[in-house]
Amino acid sequence: MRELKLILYVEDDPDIQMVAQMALEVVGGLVLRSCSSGQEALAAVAACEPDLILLDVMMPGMDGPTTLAELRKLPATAATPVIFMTAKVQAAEVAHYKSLGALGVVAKPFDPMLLAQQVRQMFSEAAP
Amino acid sequence: MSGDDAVQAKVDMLAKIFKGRLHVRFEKMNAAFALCRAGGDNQEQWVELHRLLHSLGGAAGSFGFDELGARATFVELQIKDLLGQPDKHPHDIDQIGLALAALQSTT
Repeated sequence: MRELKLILYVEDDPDIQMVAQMALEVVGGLVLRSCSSGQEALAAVAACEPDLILLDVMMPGMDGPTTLAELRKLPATAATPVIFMTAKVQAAEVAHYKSLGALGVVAKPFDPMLLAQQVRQMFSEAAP
Repeated sequence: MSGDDAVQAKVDMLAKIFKGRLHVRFEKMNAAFALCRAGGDNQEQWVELHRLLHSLGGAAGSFGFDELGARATFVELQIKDLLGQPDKHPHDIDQIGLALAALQSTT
């Protein structure tokens, strides 16, 4: 089973980026590479091979689902696990995001003390 | 100070920074709403205002400002209803203005 160490995190809001970074690095002991847009993430994956991609759904320009579709076209991230982060977490919405290829969905707003645990759990449940 | 206390202290510090920067978010919302009010083909401004509120709703709750987050989400949903309407009723637009003012008074 692949170990979860490096996460590529795509979120346009700097405040949310800041608290998620604290939650995942300080609380969770993970390493985060943060990007502010889908375009930036597509450029970043050439230089880092994340174990997991955390993707905000609603972003200006390229939204989360579009970014996921573009990431899947790149050999480096064709099969990288992805978790969406969104406020839209009704059952049908979660099912839709999973149908796009996501492991799961983290609800926003999130609890900074529990975020890393949630992410690790989704990652380990889906790992072969 | 335990590990959890140290983390909580960091969260509290980040929350202070977030609160200190709220005025920037409100200024952007007010500017977008002014353009929405101006009329004409301003669908993009309504979408931008919706996005700003969505973003605030997600951030506020994560910093522990639950009431602010709930109010932001309330206005976000009001705007979502309006987005599909080509001719927005002035009364509905006024309601958004009032809700935005209430949101900003939360802090």
